[in-house]
Amino acid sequence: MVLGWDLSAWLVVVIVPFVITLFSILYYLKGDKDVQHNLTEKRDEQ
Amino acid sequence: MNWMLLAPIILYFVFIVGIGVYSYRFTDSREGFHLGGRKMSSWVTAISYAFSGMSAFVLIGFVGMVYTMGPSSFYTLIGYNLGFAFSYLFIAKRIRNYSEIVGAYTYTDYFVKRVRGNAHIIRAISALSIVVFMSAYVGSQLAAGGMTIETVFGVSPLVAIIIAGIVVTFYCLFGGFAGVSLTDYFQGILVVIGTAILGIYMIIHAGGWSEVVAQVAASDASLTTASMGAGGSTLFGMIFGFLTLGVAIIGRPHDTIRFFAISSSSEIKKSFAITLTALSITYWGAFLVGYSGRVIFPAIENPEYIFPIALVELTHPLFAGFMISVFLGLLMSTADSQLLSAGSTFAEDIYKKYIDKNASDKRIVMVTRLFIVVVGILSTVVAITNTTSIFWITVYASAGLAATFAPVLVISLYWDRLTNAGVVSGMLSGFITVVVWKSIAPEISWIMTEALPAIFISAIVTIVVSLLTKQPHIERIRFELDRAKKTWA
Repeated sequence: MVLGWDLSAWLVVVIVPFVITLFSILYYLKGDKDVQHNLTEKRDEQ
Repeated sequence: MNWMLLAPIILYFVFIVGIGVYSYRFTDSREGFHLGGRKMSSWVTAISYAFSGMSAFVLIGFVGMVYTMGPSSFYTLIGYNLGFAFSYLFIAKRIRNYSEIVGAYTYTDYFVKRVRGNAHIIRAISALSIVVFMSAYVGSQLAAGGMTIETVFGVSPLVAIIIAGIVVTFYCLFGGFAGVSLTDYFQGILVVIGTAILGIYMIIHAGGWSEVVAQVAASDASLTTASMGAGGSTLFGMIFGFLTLGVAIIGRPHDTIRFFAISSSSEIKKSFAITLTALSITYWGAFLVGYSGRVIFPAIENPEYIFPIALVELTHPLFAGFMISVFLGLLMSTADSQLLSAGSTFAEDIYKKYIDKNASDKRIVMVTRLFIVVVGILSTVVAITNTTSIFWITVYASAGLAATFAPVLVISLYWDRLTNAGVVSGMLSGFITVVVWKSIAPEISWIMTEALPAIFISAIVTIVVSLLTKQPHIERIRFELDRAKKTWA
């Protein structure tokens, strides 16, 4: 028991949602290596 | 009537109608009206996607679940977050690019242009699904708004529903997509901040965390664990049931259309991080409201209304009025997205294609507005006459939309062999399974809602039928898929 809750409660309420959110932030911070330009212009050329 | 409570609500509604009028400038073209000119920032996309997707569930249904189930209620939100993550990781970038490549303004338009087949049946099925499920969905949101106003003010819910219906229809009518997205954005930000403040305030008011946990444990010891008092296969079944609720948010037209409108696909990752961060803060705030609410209001009749009741009972009337208007705004942020989706579908996919093929852009925008009024009135009537549970109408309508569109959407973004017949049969089988599952398997629908089996069946049917038929434009589609998977500035 930690602060009145067992591990399953902390896992479900805090740890798992935090990990999913952290993943989204790290995924963003990783950035895009190869960014293209002019999606529509190139379509028109085709 | 408590005017100190009511004044912020009136001011707030004037403010969001003002945003609708301001956004009028974006609506001089079809792309402008339907997609805000594809100029939405990552922040606006993220917050409006999150809260038109979550609706008022997080402050009504979820808070009620926390009150009765404690930490176990969070399984549902983990399921929703996984649904949001899936949408961002596997749908967002590709649908953003592909919709621009083929010049699609609406969801239905995208499918028709993507498979290049006979468009009539795709248009008919998707328009039917969108208009039917959206009207019910909007009606349920307006009804929830009416019940909230009735709970707080004791006024007639009929009056409240009609006011909510008029306000939503009005700003949707003028502002189009940009108006809807901007109001969702402001409301979303206020929900995140307001819910967190209220949650922390209520924990302090109830005597602090240790005191709250001790009192909750004294009333029911199972509310300090996430095992729901079960074990083994029963626990697994319950967890599975809650997690799969998140499937129903994938591919729904009214929120997925946000991805069409983000300024570029290079903004998607940022939007993903903002969406999940904003939602997590809101979830934790809402959890604290429901959990401490159990201590502060131990004998409440309907735990789903703790949020507005706590505001009225515990906070200053001006803050309470302001937050209740945000709460109502959250209900409406879903309703307005759905109204717009239904209006766009009718104008682009029915009127333009079958009634007046030579209609100008101005005329199409006008027809969209007219149809928004029609669906707005229909939804208000649904809300007034509604007698069933609002939460379950929402789950059902959501499942219907997800099952019709999610499988064919995901497959369309990855597989070049997808055919017109595959899309038609996939949409139809998903639609029908939702209806049939609910009627033949009501006893297991609490473990597995109709969305998951319907999506599974739809995916299988889509793939099998596509393999049995021929896609004559496969080379062109390969080229488009290759472009759609890249990141564009």
